[in-house]
Amino acid sequence: MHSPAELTRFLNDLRGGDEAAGTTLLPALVSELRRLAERHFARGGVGNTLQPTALVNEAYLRLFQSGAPDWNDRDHFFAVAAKAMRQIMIDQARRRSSLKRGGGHQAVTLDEAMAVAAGIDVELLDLHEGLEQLEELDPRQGRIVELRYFLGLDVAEVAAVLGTSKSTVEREWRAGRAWLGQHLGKGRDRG
Amino acid sequence: MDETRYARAKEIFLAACERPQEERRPFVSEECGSDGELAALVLGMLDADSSESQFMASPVDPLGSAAAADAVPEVPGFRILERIGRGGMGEVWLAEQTQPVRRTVALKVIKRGMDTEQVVARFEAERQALALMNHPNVAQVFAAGATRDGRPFFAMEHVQGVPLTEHCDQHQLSTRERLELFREVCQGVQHAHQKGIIHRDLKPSNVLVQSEDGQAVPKIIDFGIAKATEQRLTEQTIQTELGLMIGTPEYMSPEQAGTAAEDVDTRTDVYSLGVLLYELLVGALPFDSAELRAAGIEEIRRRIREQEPSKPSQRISTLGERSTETAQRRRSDVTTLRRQLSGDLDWIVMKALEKERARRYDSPSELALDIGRHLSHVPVVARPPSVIYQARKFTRRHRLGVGITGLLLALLIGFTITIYVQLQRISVEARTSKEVVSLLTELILHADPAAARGDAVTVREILDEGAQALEERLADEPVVQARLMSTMGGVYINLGLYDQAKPLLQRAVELWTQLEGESDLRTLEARRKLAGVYKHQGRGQDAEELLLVSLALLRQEVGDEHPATLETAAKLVGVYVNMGLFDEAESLCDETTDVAHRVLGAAHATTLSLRNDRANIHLLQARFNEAEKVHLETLEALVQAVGEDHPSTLATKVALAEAYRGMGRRDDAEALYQEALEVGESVLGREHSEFLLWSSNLAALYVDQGRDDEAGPLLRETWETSVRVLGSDNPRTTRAAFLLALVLQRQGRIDEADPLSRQALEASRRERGPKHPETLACMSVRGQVCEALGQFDEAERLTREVMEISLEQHGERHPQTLIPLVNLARYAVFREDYDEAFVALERAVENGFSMADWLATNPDLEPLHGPEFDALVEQARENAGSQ
Repeated sequence: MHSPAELTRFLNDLRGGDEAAGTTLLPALVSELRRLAERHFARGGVGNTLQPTALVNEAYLRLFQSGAPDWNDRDHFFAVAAKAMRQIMIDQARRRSSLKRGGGHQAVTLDEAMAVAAGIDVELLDLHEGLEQLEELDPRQGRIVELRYFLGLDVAEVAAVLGTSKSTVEREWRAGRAWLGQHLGKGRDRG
Repeated sequence: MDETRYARAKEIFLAACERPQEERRPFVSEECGSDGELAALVLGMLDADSSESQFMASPVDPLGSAAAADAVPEVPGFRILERIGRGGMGEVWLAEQTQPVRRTVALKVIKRGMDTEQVVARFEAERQALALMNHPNVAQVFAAGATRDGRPFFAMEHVQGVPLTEHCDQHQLSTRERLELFREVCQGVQHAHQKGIIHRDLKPSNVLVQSEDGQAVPKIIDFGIAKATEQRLTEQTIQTELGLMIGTPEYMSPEQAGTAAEDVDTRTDVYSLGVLLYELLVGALPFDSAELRAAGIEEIRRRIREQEPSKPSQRISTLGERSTETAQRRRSDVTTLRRQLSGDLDWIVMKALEKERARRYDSPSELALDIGRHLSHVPVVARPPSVIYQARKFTRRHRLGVGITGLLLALLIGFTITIYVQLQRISVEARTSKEVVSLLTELILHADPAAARGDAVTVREILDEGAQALEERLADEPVVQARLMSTMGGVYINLGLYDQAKPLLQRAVELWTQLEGESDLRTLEARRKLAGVYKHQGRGQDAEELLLVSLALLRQEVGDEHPATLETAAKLVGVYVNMGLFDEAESLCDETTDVAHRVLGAAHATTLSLRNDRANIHLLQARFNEAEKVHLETLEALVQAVGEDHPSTLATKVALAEAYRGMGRRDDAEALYQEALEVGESVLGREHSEFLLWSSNLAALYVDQGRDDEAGPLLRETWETSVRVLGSDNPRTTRAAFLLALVLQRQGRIDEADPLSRQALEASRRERGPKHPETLACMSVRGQVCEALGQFDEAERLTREVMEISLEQHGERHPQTLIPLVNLARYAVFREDYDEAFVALERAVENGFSMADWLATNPDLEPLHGPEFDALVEQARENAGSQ
């Protein structure tokens, strides 16, 4: 496990534009998020949709218990956290999908939640691939979508994280979501 | 597509968004010019952007998509492969079971937080019963227990399929095909009910259709889980579960939706099956899902408990556009589908969905039977109200005729009472049984896994294999082998598996005979058990033969006075009583009782059982004074030996009360019942099977006196408790059931009396044998209900059967023979066979039938009126004078 000081240094590097720092921080964050989610799940918090932001905030506080860096660092931290969250979810979805042999239901369903989850997996993986394409076409838009969708940040928060205006975030989000929507066939007529 | 092109598309898209809706398309065409590809992209984006689209409207939920990972459970005997599901209650893992056989299973682990000791204890309690299930439509439960860290788990058959409703829609199954699949589901649930398991959470996701050898086979999963985790509809479950669509209230029965800790019985599954059937037929739920969920918990409760859903055929008409889709999915059109549903199917579904469970089908198999009737174009049992109304009208017209059947019943019900001591013996046997089961399990667990075969091993098979293991592995320890086989035979008897008990006990007899000779006490004990099997199987003669031989040997070897000799004789008395051989029973009973009394004492189980059988013989032959005498003697001995409050004393008091009831000393009878029940409540509790039995007997007294308002509630409570505690096939349940059916029928509640009387008769035939007095009583009640339903052929058939059995047992002049004979005359009149009717009446009067006024005034017999008939009435009057 990384010490808070190490993590802070990574964050500083990150602010300085060092992409490698993000990759170093990521594993620590992923494991922390997993642990938190598990604890949350064990408490029976399944029913209440868990905002990923809440989870990340908690992870942040735990990772930087002592001598927490300033608020700006928290914004940068979010940029990494969104990637972490996305990675966790895609990994999970992939793992479950690989179990579905022959494309049928893996239908030892304890209840309907699993049937629902099966549908989510497919969408999530498609979305992930679409987002990868979008990131090539427009990297900034890709990050905005990632922060909004995988981390649940609102427009103002995304603007703060990326150091840009709210209206830009709003426009980019709208366009990005629309592009992904048409890419995945989510138009009004095609349902 | 490259970055610049996308930048251009984005620019046009955002500019278009600034414009009013109707200007957007022309604007895009203009901006893109001849670049059709670009235009298509932007238009697609605008389309996806429209406000109706929910796409990416909210961020992904890390828990909903199972981002969190629970620790991999550690379960002895299983190798965990992969998690394949997660839900509100826990997780499902794909695992490989290594012992006793190697196979892939679905391992359901209940999540942390639910793993209280109570849940684990309930799991333990359920486990044996669950493992007894063995049915092609039920996912086999292989094992249950706790993981290393104490979470409860079930290992069950790994079913790969889709929910029933989805399967039907995917394959566009017709209504008939759906009904056929659904009947299989009913059979699976029925099987579980027979093993004492209620599902409590039947819904499409728990009924999966799996392809087996190219055939679609529905499999019910998760039996017993709802009970073990005791899920109820509470504020919390609604909140936690509705969020993820778990524990759907749509399928919950009214009694489950209740706030009170109301007991839930097998009919809760009948209700849920009704909802499932509704959905299969209509493509919608009885209560609209979204509407229901939007309501608060109180409103959900109220709707489930009070609101009548629309009939399927009506619902189809109100679905709007969805109805066309529904019809297409059934390879039909709306008009045809509506026609298919209206009538039989409407009534069948609505009967299953009755709010009051007593009005539902009594069991899944009855629901399946009714669907079968519909499929083969035979009239169904479920009826629209108008027919019930007609049936009631009919009953009124023939009240006198019905009344006389009631009288027959009063004569028939001389209830036998079993002495409590015998029950205690059975529980000792049950304890031993448990030890044997665990021993066997050990034995099999240590078996070579490669030797174990197949992929669906049930506990029954484990027992069966255990039996084989006994044979093979213990060959060099024949004494242990013989003892275990004898005990295991007892286990099977306790489980009601007489066919399985038989070969084991036969083998035990064989072994003991080889080892110790045929007159060894252990050989003879095994024989006694084997005779018990025969008795239960209705093979009275085989039981008799076996016991006679044993008795002769015992007398020769250990003498007339040995406890084993006496016990064997007492068993034989019981067999004779069961066979209706009262003379044989009587002489053997008397001769054995003297010795038993002297050697064992008055309070010994064998003596008590003999005295009790003696009184029963009197009672069954309507010799109430003699029965009274025996009971008074026994009572005195018991009070001295064990005291006033002992269950045996109480049981004897009730037996005495029965004699008084037969003698018409109703006040004496009632006082004794009340006393026994009062003390019994504190000594045994209200759910004890003896208490239930005595309650029925008191109710029977009320029934005799026409005090139906008192009898009704008492019987309802007794019957419901009895079904829950003893199961619906138990003779004690049957007694409460047919009495309740009689009361309901008298009150004009034929639709309730109908299934109840039918079930009681079936159970009594099975459990008591076709000629037992209580089976005759059930037949009489059933006949009466059939008559009220207008099913005269069946009523007549039953009446004839009662008459013939009574003729055989009691002779021509017995009231139990005469009364059905007179009723047969009525049925002949209904068939307009007046000659036959007259002959039957003549025969009755010649043999002493004396109810002249009834004959003269019965409207059913009017077609027979004339001088000859008047002569018959006159003769009946003379009979009355001479008696």
